Amino acid sequence: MINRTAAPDLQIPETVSLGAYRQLTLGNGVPVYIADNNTEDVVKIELCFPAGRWYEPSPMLSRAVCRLLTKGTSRFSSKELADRIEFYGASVETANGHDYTSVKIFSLGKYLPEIMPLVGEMLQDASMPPEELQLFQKKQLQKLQVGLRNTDFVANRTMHAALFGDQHPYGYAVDADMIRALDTTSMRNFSRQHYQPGLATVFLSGNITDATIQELERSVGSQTAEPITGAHQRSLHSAEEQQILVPNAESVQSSIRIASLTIGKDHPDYAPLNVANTVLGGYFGSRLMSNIREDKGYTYGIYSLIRHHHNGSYFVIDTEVGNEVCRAAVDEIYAEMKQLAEVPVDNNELTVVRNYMLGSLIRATDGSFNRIQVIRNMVMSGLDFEYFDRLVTAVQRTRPEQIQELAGKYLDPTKQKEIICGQPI
Amino acid sequence: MINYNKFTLDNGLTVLVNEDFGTQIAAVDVLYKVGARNETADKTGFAHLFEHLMFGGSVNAPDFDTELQLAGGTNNAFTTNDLTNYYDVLPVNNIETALWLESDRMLHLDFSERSLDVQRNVVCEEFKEHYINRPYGDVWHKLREMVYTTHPYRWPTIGLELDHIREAKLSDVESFFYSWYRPNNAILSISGGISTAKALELAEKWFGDIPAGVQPERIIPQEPAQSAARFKKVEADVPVNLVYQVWHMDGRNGSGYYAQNLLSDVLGNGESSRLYQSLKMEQQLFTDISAYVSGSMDTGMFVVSGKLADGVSYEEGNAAITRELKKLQSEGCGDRELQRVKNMVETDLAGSYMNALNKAQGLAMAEMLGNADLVNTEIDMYTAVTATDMDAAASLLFREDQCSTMFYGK
Repeated sequence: MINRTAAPDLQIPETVSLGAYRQLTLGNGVPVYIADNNTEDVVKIELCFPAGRWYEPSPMLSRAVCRLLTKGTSRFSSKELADRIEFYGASVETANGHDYTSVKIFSLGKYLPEIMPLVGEMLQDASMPPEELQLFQKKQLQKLQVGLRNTDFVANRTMHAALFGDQHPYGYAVDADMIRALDTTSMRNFSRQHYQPGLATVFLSGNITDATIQELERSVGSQTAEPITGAHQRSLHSAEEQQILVPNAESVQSSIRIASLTIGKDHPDYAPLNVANTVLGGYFGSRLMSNIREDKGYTYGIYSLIRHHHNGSYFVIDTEVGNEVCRAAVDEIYAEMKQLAEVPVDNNELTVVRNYMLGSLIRATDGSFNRIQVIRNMVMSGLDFEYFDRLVTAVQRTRPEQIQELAGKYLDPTKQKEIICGQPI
Repeated sequence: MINYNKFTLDNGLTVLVNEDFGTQIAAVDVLYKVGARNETADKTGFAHLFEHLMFGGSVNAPDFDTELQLAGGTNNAFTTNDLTNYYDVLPVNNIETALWLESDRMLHLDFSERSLDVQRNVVCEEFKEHYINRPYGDVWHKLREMVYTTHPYRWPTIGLELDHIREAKLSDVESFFYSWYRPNNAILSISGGISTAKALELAEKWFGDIPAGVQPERIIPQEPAQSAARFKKVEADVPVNLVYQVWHMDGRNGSGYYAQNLLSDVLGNGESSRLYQSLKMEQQLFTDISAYVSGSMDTGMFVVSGKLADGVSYEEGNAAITRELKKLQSEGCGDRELQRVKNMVETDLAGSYMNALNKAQGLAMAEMLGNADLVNTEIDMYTAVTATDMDAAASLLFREDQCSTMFYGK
């Protein structure tokens, strides 16, 4: 019989490395980062552009341009583009973010010569067809209507406005007027300026060959970019009030957000703060999850996280709870935050967190699709590659008293915005 | 191509191993062949509630999550109408921790009122968060109870109503465990930087002594063929009205499954698909429209669903969908169209198995269907579909008297 009463011996890796990647530069200076894996002939290409909310001259423009980028060029309608791309089983999708946007190509390697010229055309010559804009507007208006009924959605937008101010690119809440005010001329101007191939940063994963690079040279690497004009200075105005309640009489649950502005990834405290945050609410075994879900059963889930943008990062605790336990849940959240600053984390708990975090870093780099995302997140946040090592080191070395100190400094319950959307009883 | 080896332990546990020395990770997947379809109508939501209880600790490992996190791992689980799947991903050096934990809870989960109390609450909050507090949260409740008269696919995995979960008793829980959570009703699938011999040795070490159970008798009432069209209007105070048309289709192992699945792609997968182009872009009757299949073990659902554009009536939208389906039936599916959907599937499958977890899970799922090798050969099933098969599928599926139509909204 085996001995089941004792856990098997553990081996925790001394070091974690990012794994293999390559770097090169296209003819026009566009940087390319590559994580290969050639077991299947699939290729993921992600082109990132400085075209997020931060750069918008007017609200919603970034998202609208991003979504319509693939919906028509002077030569091809959206239908023709979709036909040509989907026939080869490929996809070209876009994603908009606060700072940068992405054009993501997913294709079998053998069909890239059919797909990449079309992508090049979209970047330089997206036509932003009026009928596509109308469809986009209709859909966004519908989405907004649905969202406004959802406490989760309302709590998030209320929080963003409270942290950054409702005029700030990270803070404004989309309304119907913003959607209706979109016009194709401003959109074309924005796309011409912000999606110039020469402004791209490229991330490749999957089966990357010389032929892939040649295709990329042709479609992205041949023209240098004009610099982006326009000042992008925005002032940040957090809300005065600390507690915000948005009532929703139909709701059986309340959405809670406890949030504050915090330091960015480039700050020396960030890596150890990340450890403190993990203890509090950053993984399934966290204090918040153990207390509020596993012990009290108030919620299906509760997490805390630090979200980064180039020009402003924030900390947030995010959960949905039954209306009747809303206040009790908020009190427990504050108690956990306070506890983190007042009592040192014991070594057993810290060992769990440490090992979990090291494991996460290993898992995050498993497979070329995953590895390239870690690389992208670092590069697009303006960080050097040593950042990964700093994270690893912080996980290995952060001490209990340091966690206490950082919790006191950055996770102080008295300095949080408290947003509740629902019908707390 | 996923290379793997398959073994069966004496207690009936199926073991699948994929060696991949290119990773520092191991994925351990344990699939139990039990899902909401094994529930009875008065105790629904049970398979899913049970999934939560599996994290309540076992006799030798009272805290599953902590032990796994200590080993640098993470885990999760999900329940479908057909199966319950648990998975752990951790540094390969610590793979034994995952095997210890998974085998210990398979051997003897530690049943307690306390754990049941908490998880009942958690699941009730999950029910509220996803199915009540959210616009459209009850769509699948309404749809399933119309599409299925007899088969337990009548209810979603969360269950028919909160009360079934609130009333769950410890004795129910225990009997569920000893009926379904036995090694002979499970598949253990491992992928990562470990040799097949070592993986098998460890599987034998940790799982070999778990007694087999009496194979539960599956008397899942099968859905009779539909003989008349069904219709339901659900009044819901939502901003956007929805139209659904649903047909019964072959189960995952049925001979028509692959053609039917491709047919759903022709209609509704991608921006060049028929419904998208005609009803969204040209006629602008819908702001979103798609077609997809449920991919179930038993009689599945072929679903067309659309969000009506403002000012378009249910009848108008519904009639337009019907016209498109008739058109496909009479014109047939073109060669280029068929090639398009085959190419889409090829890309999709090629990109499906890019990390250890996807490989372990893919193998386990395929094995549940009866053949782990499907991870490698499924593409051939799609490639073999001809235009004639597609036409046959269309004429068989879209019969007016076999449609279930639901209008959802104001």
